[in-house]
Amino acid sequence: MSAAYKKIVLFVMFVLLGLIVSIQVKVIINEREKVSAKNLDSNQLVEQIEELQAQNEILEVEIQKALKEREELTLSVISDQASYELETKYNQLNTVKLQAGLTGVTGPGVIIRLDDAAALRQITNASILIIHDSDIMALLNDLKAAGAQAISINGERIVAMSEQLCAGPTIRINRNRYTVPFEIIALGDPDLLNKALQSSERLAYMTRDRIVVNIRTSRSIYVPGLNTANIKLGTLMSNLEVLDSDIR
Amino acid sequence: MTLDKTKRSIALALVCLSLGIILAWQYKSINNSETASGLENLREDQLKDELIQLQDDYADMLERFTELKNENEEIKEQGMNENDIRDRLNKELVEVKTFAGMLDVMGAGLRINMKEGSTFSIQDDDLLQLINELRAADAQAISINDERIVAMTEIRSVSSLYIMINGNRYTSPYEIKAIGDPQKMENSLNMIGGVMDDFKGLDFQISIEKSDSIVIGGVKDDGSVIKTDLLIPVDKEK
Repeated sequence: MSAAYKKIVLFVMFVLLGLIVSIQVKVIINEREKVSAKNLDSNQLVEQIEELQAQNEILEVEIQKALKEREELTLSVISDQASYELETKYNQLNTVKLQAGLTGVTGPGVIIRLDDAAALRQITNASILIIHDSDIMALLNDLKAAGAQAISINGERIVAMSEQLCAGPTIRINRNRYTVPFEIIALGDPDLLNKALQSSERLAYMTRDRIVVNIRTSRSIYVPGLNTANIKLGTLMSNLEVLDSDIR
Repeated sequence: MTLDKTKRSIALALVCLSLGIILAWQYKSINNSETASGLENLREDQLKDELIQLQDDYADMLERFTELKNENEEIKEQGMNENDIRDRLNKELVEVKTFAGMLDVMGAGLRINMKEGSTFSIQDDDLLQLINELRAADAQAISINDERIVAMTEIRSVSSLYIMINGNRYTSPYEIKAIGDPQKMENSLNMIGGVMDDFKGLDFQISIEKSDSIVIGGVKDDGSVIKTDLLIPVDKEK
């Protein structure tokens, strides 16, 4: 009775063992097939994306050329007219463009380089070791409060409606995505900007959390204007109806 | 006999042990493969979104390029008289001034009223977070207590007493107005774990009201809000 019972137990166990081993093998084989199929799909997607990106870049350059040609044509027509009124208007337009952040500019300022705490990326709570949108927002705010006149992040000019939005490991600015390292350039009085950074609470927290922060001042740095080749200004204000306009 | 019994027991224990290990392994590998394929799917969705975005961009840019090219050709062939050029300059001037936030504008959007509770005061970070969320939802004009948000607008708490916006002091309550797609903006504020959740946790009283005719004034600038005296315009080729 006891021997028979033991045999039955052993038998059941071996059956189970066999079953489990075969399931395991099946899962592994399945997984391999799935992964290779997925890789094929996403590789194709990546290829298509790269192709389109290249295509769009070429088109962007062409648009920039056409915009420049338009500018030159306008200017030549204005000088042909020899009209003081038109020249004044043209100069006024350029001033407003400068104020709106549509013109590339140089000036004194600070360059801030930020990178995630790379060496520590492996450890448990990675969330505090990476740069967040709120960090960038707070830093920009500190710089603005210290009288910054033009700011760019990774070459993306900050204008009135520029967002800084975290999406996974990237930050979205002006609808374009950027990954670390981030380079913030702020033009203004370098001493005031630097002082603001040194007393910035947020920057202190970031340094404490081992975010890599590098700051240097310069007498002349370039900040590009908003790229208007890949987006039409009008689409950014399609919902706005202008109420007052003293421009005739 | 006792030896035989011990041997059997050991064998049985071994079988049980390996069974346990294998079961655990099996469970883990199925679990793992599920999260891995979940990640793969997420990545693929992101790639597809990116592809669609790029295709849309291409179509828009192609249209714009054709338009520009044709207009340039027209100018070259027919020239422009004084009136044409005045109209063009005026149109662009209004556009750029609107973009910079210098003009009064009207449109559909949201009116958000925000009042602090007794526990926490509203800080600069809260307002920054809110307007960033609105910007990300494609807001086209924003104001806080009728201070137009322009590129270099600061929102800065001064020792929890008041908040400086465009160089002026404000305290709770705050009225934030935003023009854009009302539904899209409201959705992004109400997202789970979004700003509204955060604000409720801080005991702020908030109401969001959709409207077809939000009016937002141009920036009130005494010369200190939009400054460019340190900037030298440069025409840099790409």
